[in-house]
Amino acid sequence: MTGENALELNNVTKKYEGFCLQNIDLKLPAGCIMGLIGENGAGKSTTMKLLTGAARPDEGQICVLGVDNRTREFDAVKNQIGVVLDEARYSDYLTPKQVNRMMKGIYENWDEKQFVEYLKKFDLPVDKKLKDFSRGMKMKFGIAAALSHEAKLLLLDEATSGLDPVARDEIVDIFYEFTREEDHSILISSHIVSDLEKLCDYIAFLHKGKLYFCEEKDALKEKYGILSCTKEMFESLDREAVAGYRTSPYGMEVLVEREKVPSSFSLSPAGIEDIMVYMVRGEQTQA
Amino acid sequence: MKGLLYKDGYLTWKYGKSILLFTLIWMVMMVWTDSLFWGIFPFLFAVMNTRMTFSYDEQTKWNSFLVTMPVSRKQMAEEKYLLVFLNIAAIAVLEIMIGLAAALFSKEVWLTADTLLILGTGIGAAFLYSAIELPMIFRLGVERSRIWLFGMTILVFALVGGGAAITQSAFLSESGMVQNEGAFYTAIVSVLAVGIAAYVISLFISARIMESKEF
Repeated sequence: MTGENALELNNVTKKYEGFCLQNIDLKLPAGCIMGLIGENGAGKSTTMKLLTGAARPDEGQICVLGVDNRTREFDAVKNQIGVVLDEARYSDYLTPKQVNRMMKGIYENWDEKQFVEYLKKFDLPVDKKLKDFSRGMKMKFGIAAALSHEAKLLLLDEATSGLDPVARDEIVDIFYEFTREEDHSILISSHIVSDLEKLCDYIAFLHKGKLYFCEEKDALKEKYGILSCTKEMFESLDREAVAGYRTSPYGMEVLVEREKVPSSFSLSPAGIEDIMVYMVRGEQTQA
Repeated sequence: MKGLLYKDGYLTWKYGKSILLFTLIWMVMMVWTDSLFWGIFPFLFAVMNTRMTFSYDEQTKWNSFLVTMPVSRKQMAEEKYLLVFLNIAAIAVLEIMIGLAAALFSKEVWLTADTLLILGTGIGAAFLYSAIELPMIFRLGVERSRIWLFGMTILVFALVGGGAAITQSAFLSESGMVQNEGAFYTAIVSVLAVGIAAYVISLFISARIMESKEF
């Protein structure tokens, strides 16, 4: 493990009945934001569980903020990790005020002032029980708590789901703000790829428990393009260049690696969502 | 652990208020009917009250979130044991206070052999029951352990309550005087010792269960 990486997964494998996360190698450099994408059941939540220590790998090693997450030392390191899961896990019978008191007794660096400021910013009542909060309010509440103990690393599992576009945009800005400190990092998994496209420096793509790629977002967008062509033209393409394709009555749309097709071809830019969809669906079509 | 204790303490207090009322009613029943049975019951509720905090935790999948916080798995187990201990202690103090109030009212000695028998067997039964209950909940969860625990609740408290009744009739005269002090106090201390020893061993078992658990 180097001090430059906020997260390192080395050859991590985790087997469940009917699912296997296989040989994952992933590195998140400190100060960066990485988006974890993939369809339902691809292994995103399993990866998050492994990182937080909620589940243990069958093989491989995981280091978070420079510490092996199977060691006792990791319990203290968790003071520097903010986690937001796909739903708020606080008791519905507690109020934000009570959660504040609870967190003061859990986190060494709990910042009550910061927490109250976030509650105000998100327009969340202090004395209302969480059971009376909407899903969006609960997610905002979870984010407020995750940002209120001087965390250096945020692990966000579908943290923006349930939020309306305006609230999501606001949250994305807050995450940006968080990474202004050069040693602050974020790993975020989301189905809403447009959020990740705005936010992330790196994109890791999981599919059926395997890591397809983990690359810089800009490099990824430069690497791939979409070619609209006929079936005959498609068949003439170098197979190595094709990452996925779709057929329609009007022709074909092919996700290609720009470097592997003739420069005379006119390619449309490929977004992260395009890359993900073409790779998953293209594979299915070929099979 | 302080934060967890605050959370569970608050949730326990939500129902603790009604337990206070029931304890009062049972103590009145105990004095009225001269039956130890009523005095032991509040301890059962002290234990069940803690089980409710497990239910709340399961409802929101709290443990899968808690494990991401700077709390060790061992501490997660220890906190619940401390909570049970505090609940039992609270009921014991409450029963002593009620006993004291009743003694003041009737102008009798408050710390009678009867009171000692109730406290000893109640506390012993509560610890013994929790010693079995807590590892089962940590291992199986509240729902899956419920059927087992329902039968066990009746069994443990009936055994200890029955034992207390036998002790009462064997060692106490009708006026509440101890007839064989050595055997009487040995019986009380034995129940307490077995309960507390089982409780401490149980804590180690629960901590090990939590260490190996995945969320």
